[in-house]
Amino acid sequence: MKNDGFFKLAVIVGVISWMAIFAFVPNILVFLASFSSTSTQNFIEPGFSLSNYARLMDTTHLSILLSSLRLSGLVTVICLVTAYPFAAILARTRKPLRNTLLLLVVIPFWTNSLVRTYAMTAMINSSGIVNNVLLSLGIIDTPLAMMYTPGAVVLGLVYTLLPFMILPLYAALERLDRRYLEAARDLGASPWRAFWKVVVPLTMPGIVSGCMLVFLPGIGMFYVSDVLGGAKAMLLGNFIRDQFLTTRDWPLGAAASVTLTVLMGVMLLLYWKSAARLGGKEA
Amino acid sequence: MTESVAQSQALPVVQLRNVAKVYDGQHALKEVSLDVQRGEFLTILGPSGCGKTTILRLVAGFEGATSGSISIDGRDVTDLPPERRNVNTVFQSYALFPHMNVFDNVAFGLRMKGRPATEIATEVRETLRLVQLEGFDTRAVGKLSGGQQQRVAIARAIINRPLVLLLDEPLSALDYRLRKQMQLDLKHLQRKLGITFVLVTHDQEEAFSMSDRVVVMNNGHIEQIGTPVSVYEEPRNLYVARFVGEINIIDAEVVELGENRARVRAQGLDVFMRTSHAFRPKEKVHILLRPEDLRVETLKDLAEDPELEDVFARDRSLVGTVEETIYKGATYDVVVRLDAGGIVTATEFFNEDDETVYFKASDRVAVSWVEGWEVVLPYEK
Repeated sequence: MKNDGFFKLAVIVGVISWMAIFAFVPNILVFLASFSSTSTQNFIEPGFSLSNYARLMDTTHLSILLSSLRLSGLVTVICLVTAYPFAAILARTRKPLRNTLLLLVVIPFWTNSLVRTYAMTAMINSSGIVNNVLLSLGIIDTPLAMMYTPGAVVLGLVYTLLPFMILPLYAALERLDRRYLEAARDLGASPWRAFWKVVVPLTMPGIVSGCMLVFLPGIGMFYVSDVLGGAKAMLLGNFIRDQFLTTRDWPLGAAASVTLTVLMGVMLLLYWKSAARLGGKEA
Repeated sequence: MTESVAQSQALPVVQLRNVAKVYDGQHALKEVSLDVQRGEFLTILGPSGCGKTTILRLVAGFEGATSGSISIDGRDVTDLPPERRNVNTVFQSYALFPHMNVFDNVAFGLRMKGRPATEIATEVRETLRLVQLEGFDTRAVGKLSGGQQQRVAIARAIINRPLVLLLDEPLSALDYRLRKQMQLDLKHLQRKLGITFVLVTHDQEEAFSMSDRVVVMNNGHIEQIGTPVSVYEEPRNLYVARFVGEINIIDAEVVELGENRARVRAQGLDVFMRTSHAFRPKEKVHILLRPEDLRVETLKDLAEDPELEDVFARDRSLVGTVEETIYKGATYDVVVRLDAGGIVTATEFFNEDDETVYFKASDRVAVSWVEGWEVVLPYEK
């Protein structure tokens, strides 16, 4: 009995200290750093100023931020539009086949995503599989330049992040009671209107969580941009990494990190609100 | 013009012609034909899995028939989707849209029809008043009680003025008292609106108390269609007899045939019984007797009171011993083991004049009934 209590305590203390040392404290440091300035002697001069956030708002930095948001937004939309029908079909498929399909969605996770991103280059570079197939079919005469374009980064991000959209959508659609759909049709709604008036609102928590799980990594996955996008920093993630490792402007990198975190917080709030709106039944 | 109106009045509002439905190679419905008359309250009664809900779903259009045809108001709708059929459904679990308040739920159908907002507001308010939910407009449906949700579901359906309202076990989730109240409310609502109601239930009491006609189903086909009285008093077979209440079944043999009657021998009985079936001599039959139709007297009382013996009709009585009595509140059941074998149950009212008159186990008794209240059916395995 006494030992049991000790074990429980040890586990709790262990987890809490782990979180404190490796998550909470670093985040506080980043938060503090975002208000400090830099000098030639030290990476960080303690102090309080909003100048880093002001610098983040200048045109070059702002354009990186905006283009990163735009790129990630595009990735999110593509994932949503492709994942929704797939998840809907998955939710209606019978058990053995459904499990197989779910397995196929999850299998890519067994390989490191950096490795998979490199594998993507073998698909789309000038002597890659896609170009070879198109050339041999006579559809194109010269290889398409797909590598090192924003399109390649979008493709890489969609490929990596699609499962994160499918799974929450599947969960939401699978839980959706078919009778709501029947009730809507019974009351005169066409399949299209029943979808927009009933299915979409009732699966909104799944849509929002899927979008969050895609949009946020879509801003930060710098290695996808590094491998497929070339030297040009396209994502906010690249920008933050560069501030810390290349430019050595830690306060600016910290300010960008905090901005990203706040963005995530706002989206979580949105998610919570959309879930609470449907709360009556779920809770 | 008037002639065609009269014609359409006479036409059944829903017609099922040899409709079958197969799920996974299993017949949920086997070649069912059914006419629903305009303005009637029809109840489809049967145990779970008998195909009663399948009929409702086929009429609503949620399922397609494997074979056969369905028409509504004289028009073939077999291949029409639910939104193009002039019927509405009250679902078993109500299926109210959880992301909408009461008003939006009730307004849904009219909005789909593209009616102007002011008109919708008026009609929703009127319909909510009809189901006694005035002022509930902005309530979240998840926060309502079961009975209130039920009434929202009814309002959401009837606001569309359907030709037929389909109700799928609408009262099964409610507690006993509320269910009784809703049975009355539904019946009154149906009278008031003049809409045809087709209700599905497994509760025979519910079916009898509300309906103009009852359809008894079993195993994917219809066993009997008729008024509650005819189904209860003239069951067509043993299944119907057993499903719509308690019944005593006595095996017997036909001895002699008469016009609309047959002389039957069983358990020491040898009497003519009324029957519309065409039996042959020596044919085995069942005699069906409802417990409340049976009268029980002790042999002692019969021996002591000649008057009682006269009204009791000894020639059609069965003799046995009381095995036990079961108290039911307003009535009590007397279980009698017959001397010739077999058990019958009789339901007796308490004697207001003499509360001590009550059968005891091991009392020697005779059981009888009024001539003509028995039902004679062909023998079934």
